[in-house]
Amino acid sequence: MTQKISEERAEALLEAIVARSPYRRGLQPHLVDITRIALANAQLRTALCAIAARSRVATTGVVTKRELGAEGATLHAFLEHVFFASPGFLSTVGEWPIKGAPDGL
Amino acid sequence: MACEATACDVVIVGTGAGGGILAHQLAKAGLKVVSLEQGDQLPEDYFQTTGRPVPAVDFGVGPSTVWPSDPHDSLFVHPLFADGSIGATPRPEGGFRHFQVLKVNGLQNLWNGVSVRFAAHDFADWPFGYETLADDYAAVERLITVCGTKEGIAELPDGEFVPPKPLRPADTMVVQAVKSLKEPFSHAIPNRKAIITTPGSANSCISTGICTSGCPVGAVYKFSARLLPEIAGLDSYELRPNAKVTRVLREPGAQQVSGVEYLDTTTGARHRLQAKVVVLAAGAIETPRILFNSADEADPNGLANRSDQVGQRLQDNPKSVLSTSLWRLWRHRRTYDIGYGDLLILMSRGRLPNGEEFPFIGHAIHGLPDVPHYLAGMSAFPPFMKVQLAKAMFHSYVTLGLFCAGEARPENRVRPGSTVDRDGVPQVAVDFTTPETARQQMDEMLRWGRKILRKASATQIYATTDNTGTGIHYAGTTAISDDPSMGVVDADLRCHGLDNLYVCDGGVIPTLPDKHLTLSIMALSHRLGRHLTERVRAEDMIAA
Repeated sequence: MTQKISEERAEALLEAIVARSPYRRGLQPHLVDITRIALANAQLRTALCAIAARSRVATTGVVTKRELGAEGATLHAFLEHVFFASPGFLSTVGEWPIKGAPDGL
Repeated sequence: MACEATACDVVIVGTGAGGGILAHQLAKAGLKVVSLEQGDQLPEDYFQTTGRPVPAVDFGVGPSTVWPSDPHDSLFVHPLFADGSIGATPRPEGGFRHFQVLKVNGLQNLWNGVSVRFAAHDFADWPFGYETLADDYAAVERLITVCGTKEGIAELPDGEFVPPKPLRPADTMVVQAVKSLKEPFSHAIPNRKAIITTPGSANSCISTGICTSGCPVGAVYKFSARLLPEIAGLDSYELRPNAKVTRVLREPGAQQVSGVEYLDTTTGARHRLQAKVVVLAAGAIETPRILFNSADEADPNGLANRSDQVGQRLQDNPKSVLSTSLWRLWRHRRTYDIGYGDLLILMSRGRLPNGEEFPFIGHAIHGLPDVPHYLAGMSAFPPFMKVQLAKAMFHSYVTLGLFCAGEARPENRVRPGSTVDRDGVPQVAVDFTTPETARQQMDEMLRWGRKILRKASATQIYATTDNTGTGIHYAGTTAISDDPSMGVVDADLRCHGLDNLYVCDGGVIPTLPDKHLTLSIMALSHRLGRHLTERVRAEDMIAA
């Protein structure tokens, strides 16, 4: 069954998770895209739902390691992926824009 | 054709490697041809926008991307691959992984483009030899444009080539490593791919560094990008998408088939299309499915299956994949054209524990890790070190993908299944176990690959082997043979015992050599095109 989480709640949660990330400076400009992509991905959506069920981010504005639980590793891997695939990082190795993609044509 | 025909000279089921070439040839010859494709046609900009896992599109993250992931599995999570609810097989967990793309062009939407000829000895089990197909190979190479170089290697016959893209530093290091072995049977030569490498056309290669994610400009051959535009406007040709063929039609026991029944997947309505000739070019697993589902009172085990040969001896190339970072390329910025990623063909021989030798072929791939699969190998490092390492190593990654021959074993087979797809069409099941010899061959290819990479300054090597369908070179299930008790089709690709039913896909290849089969399917298709043109014209003359 497809698990549901509202976009607003997902964005608040991801904002708090990004704030914990060592890559946060490179990730924060992409928060809107990160939320959209995470909600469209089956594994990430499931992980977000699980974290949301035990998180008090709406009242505290932060998410704890305990609240992240086992799903925290999945979200961390996703955010790390986004950082190393971001225009900011790829520019540092001389590989942005990408050929054949919308921004690279 | 102005409106949907109810009858035609030739109906071709499938628009992939076999179906595309055949449709082009027959329609150009003036025959009335209908291509039926069970999927629809992708939007022209699909591989520029949503269809390619590149950072510019959602950072390369799709709906089915998973973490952690095996970097060598990244090619197999593309959303175009049909899942078990709609494909020919239910794809049970842990079973044979059947990859199928239900769109116009079929698997060629994601084709890597490798186009090599079989050698003379690869035709040992065929009713004809290499020379019979040589002119068709050449005709297809001209038609689809193959880049490469003439090398004079007997095991890999030369073809008609346009120039390849220039080798990169990583390629040169691999070439030197292979040369240093001083083995006369080991080669590293420019790859042969169906790519327009010459600049100046709308379909010219733009050097994305990878072809298997779909080419955004149609530089890699596929029917819709190259040949379909030449015939789409002809009165004699019609492409009918969303048409899933459910069975071949005939009067029970008759030696003539009369056409096909198909399902319009957009409306659920069933239709019949009459044809003088039916050609199944749906792939080595989908075609047996159609034949099984065409069973009638006279042939309860399926059409063209009186000798129980349909589905038998399914093969796919066992493969070994090795990835590493070459330390001699660390901190190098890119000043070269990345090209199409895999610019080298590698060939060599391995030796089994019993002393028997076997050939294998493969590629050296040097692409851009813009989608960061390398992170799986950096898990032990803290984030700040990952950033430094990723920058230093970015242009140093090389992957070797090596393939050996399949083994024709009767127990590895496609058979009628017990499931139906979401359209209610019965699926097939696949019985497949990796032969012990294949395991030994994969280990031996790994040993050779490690040797090459170490000579080229490898660091840590990540290696995997697989023979569960991820070669995506399916063959053997409707084998060509003059003997009806040993195969399904004759030398003309006509089903034994049926006068006007043909098969033209990987299934007809009786024993899968180490070499990629796609160009051979296309050459067979071209040869079949000549045969059918002559046949239909002769029958029309008699009728007149």
